Amino acid sequence: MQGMTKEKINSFHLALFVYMCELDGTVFSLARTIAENVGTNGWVAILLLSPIALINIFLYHILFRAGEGRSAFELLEGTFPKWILSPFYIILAAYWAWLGAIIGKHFLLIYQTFAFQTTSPTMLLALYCLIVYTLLIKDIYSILKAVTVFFILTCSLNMLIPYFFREWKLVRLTSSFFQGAENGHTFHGWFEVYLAFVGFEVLLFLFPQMDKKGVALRGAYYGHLMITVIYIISVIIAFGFFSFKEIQSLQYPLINTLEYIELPFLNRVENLIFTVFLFANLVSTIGYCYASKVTLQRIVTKAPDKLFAILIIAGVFVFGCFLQILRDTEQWLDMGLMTEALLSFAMPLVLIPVALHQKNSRKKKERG
Amino acid sequence: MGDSAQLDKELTAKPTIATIEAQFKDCADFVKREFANGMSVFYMVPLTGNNNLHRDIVQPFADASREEAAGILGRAPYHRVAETGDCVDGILTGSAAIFLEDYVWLVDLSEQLGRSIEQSETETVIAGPHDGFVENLFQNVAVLRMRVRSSKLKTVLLSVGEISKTQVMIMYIDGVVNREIVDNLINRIKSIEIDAVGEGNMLVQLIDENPNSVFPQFMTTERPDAAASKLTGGKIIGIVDGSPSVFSCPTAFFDFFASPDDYYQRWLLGTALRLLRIIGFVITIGFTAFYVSVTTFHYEMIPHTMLLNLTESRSKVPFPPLYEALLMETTIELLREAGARLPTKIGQTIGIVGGIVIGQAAVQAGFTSNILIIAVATSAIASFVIPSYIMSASLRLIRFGLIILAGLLGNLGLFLGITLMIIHLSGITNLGASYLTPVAPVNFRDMLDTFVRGPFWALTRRPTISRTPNSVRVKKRI
Repeated sequence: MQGMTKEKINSFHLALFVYMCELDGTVFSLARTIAENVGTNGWVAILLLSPIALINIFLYHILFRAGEGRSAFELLEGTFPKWILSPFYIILAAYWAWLGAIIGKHFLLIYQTFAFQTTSPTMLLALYCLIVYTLLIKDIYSILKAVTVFFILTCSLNMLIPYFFREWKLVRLTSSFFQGAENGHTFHGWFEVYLAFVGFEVLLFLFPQMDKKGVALRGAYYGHLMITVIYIISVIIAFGFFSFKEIQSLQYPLINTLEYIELPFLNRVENLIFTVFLFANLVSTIGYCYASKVTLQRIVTKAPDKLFAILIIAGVFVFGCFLQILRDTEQWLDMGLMTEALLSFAMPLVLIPVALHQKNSRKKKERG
Repeated sequence: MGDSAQLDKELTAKPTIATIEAQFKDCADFVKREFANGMSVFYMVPLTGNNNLHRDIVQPFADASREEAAGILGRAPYHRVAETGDCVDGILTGSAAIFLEDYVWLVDLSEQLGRSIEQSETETVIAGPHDGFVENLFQNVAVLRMRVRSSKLKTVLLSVGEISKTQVMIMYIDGVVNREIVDNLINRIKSIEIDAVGEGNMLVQLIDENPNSVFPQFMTTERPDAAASKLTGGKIIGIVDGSPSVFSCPTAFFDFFASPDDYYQRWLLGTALRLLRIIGFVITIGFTAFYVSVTTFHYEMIPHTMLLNLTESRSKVPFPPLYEALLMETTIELLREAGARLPTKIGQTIGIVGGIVIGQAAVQAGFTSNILIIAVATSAIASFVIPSYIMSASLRLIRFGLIILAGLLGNLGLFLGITLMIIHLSGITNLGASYLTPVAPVNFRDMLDTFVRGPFWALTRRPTISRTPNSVRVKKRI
């Protein structure tokens, strides 16, 4: 392990991590969510909403500078006593494990809609948890290495894009913008579209592993921009492939588009391709489980690493077992991601003043 | 503890005829010769050469007086030893111990034993040098020294094994290698506590960071040209006496897919071969598993034009695809193992018998389907395109795991297996370097010499995995 201690997260790996954390089960229904809530040519909404997430990332950047690279926990514990923070830590750790469980279970339940309908979802969840566990017990650098390989495999799916050119018609995009939203334009509707971007906030827990100047944080912007482009492409493909009304009625337009791919030696490749999304969902779950783990480690500092991993995975499994129906899971997922989106803004907004306050008082002390 | 302390004390004491005789008691090949001038000579017969004995012992001392003998011993190649331990070690490496009055001298009479340099049977190339490493340590060092004629090629001699005292030579090029890694490797080898080490592939298992992993973590080769190119690439070479397998480090997973051949051909051809091996890797771990997955759970994935043939072929088979595949894969493995154990001439017969049994009889008897045979055979052939035998064997083992997972959970099982493999690989390090380099961490320049064999004008840098202080390999022409 010599040499590993010197390792620092670089911007490239952070970009991939942010990309993979943002990419989760929401992408399957993104085109429908947009068609329902934004209307025709809804892909423009992604362009409008993406900067909000960029601003959010910028807040984390400010936090990194203000806190001089210190972790959120160090900042909080520098101002508040630990006994006040501990209950918050427990709630947050449980919440993130719960969110990780929903993301995983959501993916598995969708998978069961077209394969393994009779297999016990609990058994599948147990296998999923086993994989999350094997990754969670590794150090963050190993996790990022695995994420890099997952990214390469997931990203290679984009090579399928040219396949849709033949069936894709510009006319289906229509010339009107933001028309035909089912319930008109509501804050809730647009917020639901924004949820596709949730996931990058996990980078807050990687601060201690970044270089002191925070150059790596540039990667978060790049990762977010990459996923924005991918989302736009996937939505444009769906909008040009199906009619607008059809998209509104399809539960998972992305999977439906994949069903049309036929290779000379293979049909119904969505069976295979959908499984590749296992990687993306796995990384999202890992992201939240990692956040949960480091939060718990602040409360009990001396317990072995594996014990936390076992605890969290047990939590993920138990939470996951409660979710049995896809419709319910989707509602929980929406709720969980909405809370997370708010939390994502709240965390830097709370921590920046704390960091600035600590910085100022330190400077005052230095001046004497 | 008492015996051991006593032994240590004896070994550091001044050598005497009595202690040496006690050390080699009951050794029939240990010989003592006495001369008229009072000189006593001790040596091991099998380790010494007759000519050497005649030249350095018999001829100079047969008629020499005590004073003349003392005069001769004061000159080269005779050298004095002061401790019993050195004297014993010297005798064990083929020297003769000469006792005269109260002093002891050693003279090297060792004769090189073993086969002469010949082609490696496990790593053959079509173009390029055909010499391979042999079992003799110094012969192997000589072969490398002939290829890298530089005083910067440094060597460190270590000894491993409490009983076997196997010599291990670490080689590196000063100024190109990362000294921290060299020290790390030397410390690890020094910290081995074992009775005996017999082989290079055995030694590396004692020093790797993940001893329970199925993947080999040190690249071993029997080819001097490959070892020399590793040296110039800033890596470290380790040679174990008695083993033709030379290890190099730090090693990455994808190093096992490169062959020296790639550099001896035009770069486009080398690139095509590298890509072919990557395809071979994918086929060998996943093809049979995918067949099992599709025929068990995902029949809809088969195009209708192929479906009829497949159904017809499978209609006679009484087993589910999982058992069918495991049966055939095990048979192939049995054949491969039998071929490896038997003498070459009989090995060929096994190939023919296996070919007939698997190729025709199994299908006619309704044991298996034609298409599965194609899948299993393709997977087997694909595993043989991987230049490293050890890596190829590891991948074949993983294949079984993936087949079982695919048989239980179809494509999901297959991907769960692949995910586990990736997670496992991402946790492996070799002397602190990531095993997945240059994929994770990503390094595009290194990829030019990993998945493809870039043209020589593009391969200007040494691989980053070496963490070399001197990364420039090629100076660009102006």
